[in-house]
Amino acid sequence: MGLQDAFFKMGYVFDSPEAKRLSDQISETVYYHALKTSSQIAKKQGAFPAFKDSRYAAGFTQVQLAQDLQPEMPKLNFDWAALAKDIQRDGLRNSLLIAIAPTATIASIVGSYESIEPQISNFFKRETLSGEFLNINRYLIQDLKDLGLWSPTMRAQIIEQEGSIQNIEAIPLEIRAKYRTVWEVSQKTLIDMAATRSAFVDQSQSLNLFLEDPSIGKLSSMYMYAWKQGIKTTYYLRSRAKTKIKKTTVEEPKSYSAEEAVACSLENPETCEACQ
Amino acid sequence: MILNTELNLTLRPMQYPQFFKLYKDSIKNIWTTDELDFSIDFEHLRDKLSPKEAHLIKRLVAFFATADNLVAHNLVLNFYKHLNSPEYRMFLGKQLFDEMLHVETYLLLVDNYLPDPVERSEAFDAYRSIPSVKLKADFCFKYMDSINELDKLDTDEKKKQFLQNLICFAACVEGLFFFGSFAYVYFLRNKGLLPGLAAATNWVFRDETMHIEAAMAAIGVIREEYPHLFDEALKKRTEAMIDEAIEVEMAFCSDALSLGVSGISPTMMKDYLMYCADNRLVQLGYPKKYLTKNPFPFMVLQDVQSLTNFFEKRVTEYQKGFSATKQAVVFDEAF
Repeated sequence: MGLQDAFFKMGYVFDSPEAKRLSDQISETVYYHALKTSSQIAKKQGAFPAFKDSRYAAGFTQVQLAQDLQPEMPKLNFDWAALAKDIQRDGLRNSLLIAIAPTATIASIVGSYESIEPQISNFFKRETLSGEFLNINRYLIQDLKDLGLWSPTMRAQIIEQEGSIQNIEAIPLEIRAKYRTVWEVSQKTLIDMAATRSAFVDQSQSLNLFLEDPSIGKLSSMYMYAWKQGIKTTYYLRSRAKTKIKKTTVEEPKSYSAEEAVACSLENPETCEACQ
Repeated sequence: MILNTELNLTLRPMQYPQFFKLYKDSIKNIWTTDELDFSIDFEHLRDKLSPKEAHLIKRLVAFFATADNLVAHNLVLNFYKHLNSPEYRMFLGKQLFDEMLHVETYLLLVDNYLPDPVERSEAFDAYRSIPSVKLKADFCFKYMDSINELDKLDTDEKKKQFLQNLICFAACVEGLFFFGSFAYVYFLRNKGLLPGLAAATNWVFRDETMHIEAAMAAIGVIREEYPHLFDEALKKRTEAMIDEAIEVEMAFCSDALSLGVSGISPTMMKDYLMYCADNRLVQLGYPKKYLTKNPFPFMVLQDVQSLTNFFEKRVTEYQKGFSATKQAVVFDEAF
């Protein structure tokens, strides 16, 4: 939970190599220490009953298994061979340790982004049993405030753009790259990140995928790629509605007829809205 | 020309591809009433709603009960008859289906909200018996009746009459009456009340948006093809009609909020309606007139991406699947 928050705080773009490295490091650290602690407990209280028949007893952790199975391995920072030996000697208290949950509800209670996903939108509404709640990207607002760009007009513009800032010229390109929404990130990134993470996940991960406008071609390409990368399974596929509810909190953009535009530009060449 | 009186059935070459696209887009938004769930609302009506809020709800239900049927009626008898574009008629076919879904939705609502059979039949009679609802219905009839004898748009006068009807239903009925009623629903949702009605409204509102957009597009085409119809007189009549619609909706508001509901007032509603009316005027190509601000911050929830917890509620943000026959399974498309 909150991987996106970590990236925002560190200023990482979701599909950058730094982001992927950090994601791998987090997963590796969690799995390493989970195993280590479970093994220490096993030393005192005994291993789980079927330990002798498990792959751990044969000297394998998920990392060693992944090395044989996965097309791409993350860079390792811990001494996994030594840990595997310790486990062989001392046993393991828990047969399974790591799963990545969807965290839909707790993320919204804590106020972070869900699971391992990019943000869905810079402005979005969460619908739950208890009501509907507005979520605004506070990291983006802070960055815009620092640049002196945050204003009611900016807010309206982001809402008008369905929570995307990609077409707002006033915002610098690096900020736009950082605050892309999940609809603006290649799903390949999510799959690749999940694939290398698999080396540190012994159960499974909740990998939601997002396609704004799904087609058979896109779906078959995406899921085949996920399978080839060694992903065990994916979770939901989210798409977006084809047409939207009329926005009532932003104003109707005014349209100008050809004559109006000509007439106006002749009269007020400086201030004419039609010609801007 | 879209108001020609000779029946046009030609789709190739396609004269109005923009209407065909609207038809295709709207098909991706098909939903059914099986996706609605009023069970929590039922508890709220029994235990949580104050008598003042209950009165507001009764009025809303009475309006909803017949409103979409009236729109459907006009759609078939006027729009379908006179908008001579086979592409637009395809869209109208889908719109008629939408209207029937809405009728069914509000039938379900009446059945769920009003357990007493007498109250149920009263709701369906509201357009005759409850004065504030009758005013709205009469407003619709006024612009429908005026073209009842309109068989052929063979003179400019008749074309103008039809145009007035089109503007009335797009800008006033769907564009103001419905917008007003939806605001009450979202106001209640914002207080944590009646989530079932709010979810149903999400679907209906999305459809209505599409209907208004399509009607405005048709008006735009008429403006291009028959610019002389858009004279000063039409502008004046349109402005007067919108004024009247606001007045009628405010009469409804005074009745619906007559007991006083904390958090929402007729003054706010009036600002909101004027704000919506300004947007309709701009859509029609006229300047704004009222210059008020939207006083309902909670309406922003309608304007943003929705993310639903699957286990808790039905997702409304999706599009319908596509036909497999046309698309090939491939493994090298970008995603």
